[in-house]
Formats: sequence, C-alpha cells, structure tokens
Amino acid sequence: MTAPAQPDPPGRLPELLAAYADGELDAAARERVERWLADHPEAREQLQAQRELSPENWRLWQSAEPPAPSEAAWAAVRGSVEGEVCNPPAEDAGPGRRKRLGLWAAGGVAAAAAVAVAWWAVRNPAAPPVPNPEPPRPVPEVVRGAEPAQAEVAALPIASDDDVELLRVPGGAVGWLVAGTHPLPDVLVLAGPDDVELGDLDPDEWPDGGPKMITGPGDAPMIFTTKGR
Amino acid sequence: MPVVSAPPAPAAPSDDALLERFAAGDTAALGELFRRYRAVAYRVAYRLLGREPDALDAVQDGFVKALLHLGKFRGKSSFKTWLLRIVSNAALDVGRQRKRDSWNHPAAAAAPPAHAGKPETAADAELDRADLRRAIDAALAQLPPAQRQTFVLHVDGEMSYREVADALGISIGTVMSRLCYARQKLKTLLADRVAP
Repeated sequence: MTAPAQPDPPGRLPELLAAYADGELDAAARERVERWLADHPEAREQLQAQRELSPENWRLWQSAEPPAPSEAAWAAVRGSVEGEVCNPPAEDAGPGRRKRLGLWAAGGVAAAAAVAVAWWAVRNPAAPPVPNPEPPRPVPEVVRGAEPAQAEVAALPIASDDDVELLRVPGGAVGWLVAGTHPLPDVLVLAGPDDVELGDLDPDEWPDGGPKMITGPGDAPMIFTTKGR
Repeated sequence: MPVVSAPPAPAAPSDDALLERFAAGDTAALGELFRRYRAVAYRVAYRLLGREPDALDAVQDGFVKALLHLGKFRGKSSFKTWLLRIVSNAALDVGRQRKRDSWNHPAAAAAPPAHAGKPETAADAELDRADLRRAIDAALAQLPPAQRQTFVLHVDGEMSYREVADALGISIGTVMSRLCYARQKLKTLLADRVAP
C-alpha cells in the first residue's frame, strides 16, 4: 500500500523550493518536500529554477566584493570603538541630566565669580571702583549653556511607507496587517510619571485640558492621554 | 635523524572566552573580536549603504552598541548573529539619515560615489567591479528595507535562515518569504548581469 499523493505542497511552493535548494529545511520538512516532488515531477522545473537563481546571485555578488578599507581606516574604527566602549558616558547622565548638571554648574560658577569680586573689593579698598558694577547674570549664561544639550537630542526615527513590507493581506474583512522592521535601533525609553513635574493646568496652552509639564529639552519622551469618563 | 614536528598551533579562543576576557577588562580581547568580525560586518553594512565611509560608520556604531549592551545578548545566539543584527540596524539608520540629509542637501546627495572618479587608466577589471557594485547597489536599493536586510544578512553575512530569523526576531517562514521575493526581484533587476 502506498501513501496517497499529496494534493498541495507543504507550504508556499516557491519559498519552500528555494529553502530546499539552499539546504535550509530541517529533516522533516525536507522529507515532505521530496515526497511532494515525487508526486509532482512537473514541479522539478521550478526547483531547478530556484537552484539556478541562488548560485547565480551568489557568483554575481562574489565578483563585486565591496572595496576593502585600508588598514589605517580599520585602525581608526577600532580606536573609536575601544574609546567609546572602554570609556562610555555615565549611564545615569542622560542628556536631560547633563543639562541639569550644566545649569547647576553655570549657577555655581556665577555665584563663585560674585563672591570673588566681592572679596577682591573688600581686600582692595584703594582700587578704583568698578564703573556700574553689574551683578552676575546667571540666567543668560544658563540659556547659553543649554544650547549644546538641545543639540544632543537625536531625531526620533519614524518609519516611512517604504520601511514596511506588506506580506499578506488575507481577505477583505480582516483589515490590513502591516509587518515591518522596528524603526528604532533600541528600546525607546519613555519617561514615567515620576520623571516629570506637573504644574497647574493652563487652559490657554491646553484648550482641551491637560497637564502643564516642566520638562527639559533632553528629557525622555512621554505619552499621556486623558482618562475616560 | 628524528623528525621533530612543530607543536600544534593553539586553538583560537572562542567568542565566549573573548567576551569573558573583555568583561574582565582585557582590551586585547576586544581587538581580537574586532579582527574576527570586522570584514563580515563591513560587507553587510556596505551592501546596505553602498559607500565605504557610511559602512565604516555603521560598523563602528554596531560594535560599540553590541559591546555596550552585552547584558541584552546573554548568549541567546552567537556573538556574530548579535553583532550583525545591530550592524545591519545601524546601517539602515545611517541610510535613513542619509535620505533625510539628501532632502536638505540635494547637491551633496547627488555627488558621485568615491570610486566613480577614478582615472581611466585604472585596470578594466576594477572598473568592471565598480560598475557591477553600482548595479547591485541600485538593485538592492529598490528592495524594501526588511527584504534587503534579510537578503544581505543571508548572502553577505553568511547566516543560515535560522540565524537570520534569530537576528531579526522573525519566523523562519518570514525569512523564506522575504528571501524568495528578494531573489525574484533581484533576478529581474539584474537580468542582464545574471548569466543564463
């Protein structure tokens, strides 16, 4: 007694034949494909086409190897990797925190300068008075100090229409299933409720109501929504 | 006269051993890992970007991220799989950034590739290779990024279907599907280059 002929291939035929030609199927799947091919000799032509497709592409690829970088270029890359890996920035000093530390540092420098000027004036009474001595102005310094921190805020990568791939849309009633590559290189860190200060509600700024949050330019993004009523 | 055979060369340390040494502060281990995988990482990045400086940027970024986030790696796949996943993602990021830059600086984006300006006295073979590389770059650029990444990891990263699936966090079936579509499309796009 022989097994009944398989009416359908065990999966999508071109993909299976390509994987079979590549030797990438596990033993069970390989056996199923071979059994199906035995029942459908006409499909051997398609298998041959897949066999030719893959090696031809490989040969094409091998004859167009990318240009090899110089040893100096490699040394520069390795040096940069070593520098960044062996001396990484402190984990807890994110852009927002660096900015905040910068504010404190700028304020501290301004205060120290004020104390130094006062001490110098007391110790040198004969010195000519400073015309129109202005008090230290920490606020403008702080604003200037904040600019580099703003520059550190990376643009958030957003997937565009050519970044996603429509693999299969079964039927019309189930809607669209878009499958694509996650656009972010890493997990996106969002700020939590403890990371922001909530101020008074400002109806002018949020006509529909919402929190007034005190944030810095380097702080992590946050998603919030109104609570359902 | 007795024959003295040379002692066998010491076996190269495994990736795991190098990673342990690196974690203990041995920078020589980092150098060995870099030498071991720089070529394949560069090949993958180059195929996704088509320019040497961009590819080297992606390789650098990939090595840094892979080594700084070894805690997420935890040996679930090989180090090569982990590294190439990050390098290919970094390359796609560089490509997106380049696309954004080309919107802002169209003149810079239209600049010819580095090898296009070589003098005509260069060897014909090198010119042919450069021409072929341009054709391949143009064909690959027409694939959706996910298909391109899958195809390049398999062909240039020399990764099996299973390794590509692990690297990208997708099923084997999706790898099969993407590779099949990518090959069919590349076959059409490079029809005049593929020998009958």
